Amino acid sequence: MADLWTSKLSEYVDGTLSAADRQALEGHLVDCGDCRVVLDDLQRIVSGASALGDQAPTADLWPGIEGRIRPSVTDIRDLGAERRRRWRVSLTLPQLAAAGIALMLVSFALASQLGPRSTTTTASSGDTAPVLHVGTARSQAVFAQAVAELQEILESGRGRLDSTTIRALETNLAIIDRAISEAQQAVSADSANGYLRDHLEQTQRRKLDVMRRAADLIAVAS
Amino acid sequence: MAASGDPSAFERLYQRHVARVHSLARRMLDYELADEITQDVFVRAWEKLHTFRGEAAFGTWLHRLAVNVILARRGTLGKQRQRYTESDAPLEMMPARTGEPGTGMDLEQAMARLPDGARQVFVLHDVEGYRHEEIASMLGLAEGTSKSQLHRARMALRQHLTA
Repeated sequence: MADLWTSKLSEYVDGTLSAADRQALEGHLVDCGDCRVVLDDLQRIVSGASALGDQAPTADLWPGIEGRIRPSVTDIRDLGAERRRRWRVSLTLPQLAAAGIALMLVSFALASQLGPRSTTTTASSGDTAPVLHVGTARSQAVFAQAVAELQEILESGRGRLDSTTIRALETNLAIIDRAISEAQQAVSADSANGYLRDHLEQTQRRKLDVMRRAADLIAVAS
Repeated sequence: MAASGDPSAFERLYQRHVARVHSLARRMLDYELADEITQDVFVRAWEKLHTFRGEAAFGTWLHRLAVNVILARRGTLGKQRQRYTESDAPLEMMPARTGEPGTGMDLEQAMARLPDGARQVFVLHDVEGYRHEEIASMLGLAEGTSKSQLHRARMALRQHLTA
C-alpha cells in the first residue's frame, strides 16, 4: 500500500476521480490487499456518516428561545400600553379637541339616524325600504361643525406629521371632497332618492373618519 | 404564521427542526455548546424570518443559517481553545474502538475528537451532504484543501475505529 494510492481512495469512494485515475486505481486494487481493506473501511465510514440520525437535545430549549424572542413582542405591547397611558395622563390641547370631535361624530351619527325618514321604491322588487334623511339641516350643521373643528386641529398640528402622511391625507380628503360634492349635487337633483342620501351620508362619514384618524396621529405625536 | 411574528407558529417550527440543528451543532462544535448554539440559531432564525422568501424549503434555509451561526462561533472558539488546532493529538488520546468502522456511537465519538478543520469538512461533506465547492466557500478554503481535509478526517477516523 502506497500513499500515492491511498490519497486517491477518498475521491474514489466519492466517485470524483478522473476516468484515467479510476482505471489505474482499480488496476492497483486487484493486486493490493491492503488498499482494498482501507477502501472497505473508508466506504463503511462514509456510509455510516450519511446514515447518522439526528438526536433532539435532552433538555427543552424552547423556553430559553422564547425568552429571547418574546421581548420584541412584549415591547410592541408595552409601547401600545405606554401610548394609552400617555393619552390618559397628559392630554394636550389637540387631544382634548380630538375628544370633543369624537363627541360631535356621535352627534352627527345620531342626527342622521333621528332625522325624518322617507321611503323609496326599488325598481327591482317593488318593496319599500326606509332610508336615512341625511340632508336635514341639523345633521348637515353638525357635520360642518365637526369638519371645521377637525380642520383646525389638523392645521395647528400639521407640523407634527411627516410629509408623506400629510400628502396622503390631502390626497384622500380631496378625493372624498369631490365625492361629497357630486353626492350633494345628486341629492339636490333628486332629494327623494334614499340611495343618494345614504351615499352622501357614508361619504361624509368617511371624510370625518379620515380627519379623525389624522387628529389621533397628531394627538399621539404631541 | 411564524413569518408574521407569531411565536406559537415559530415554536412548531422549532419542534420540527430542533433535532437536526442540535445534531449539527453537536457534531460541528461540541456537545457542551450544542444547547447554547441551538438557541442562538433559532433566535437568529426568528430575527431573519423576514428574509426567508420561500424559494427553498424552510428546513434548507434554516440549516444553512445554522451552519453560518456555527461557523461564526467556531471562529471565536478557535482563538480560545487548544483543542481546535490542527493537531491529531485529540484523536490519538481516544479510547480504542469496540466495533465495525462507521458504527454510529463509535463514529460520533471519534468525530468529536477530530481536529477542527478536518471535523468541519467531514461533517459538512459526509454527514450533511454538502459538495466540496460549497464547503470551500463556507470555510474560506481552496476546494483542494477541502478534499485533503476530508481524506485526512476519514483516515484519522479509520485509524481510531480499526485500532
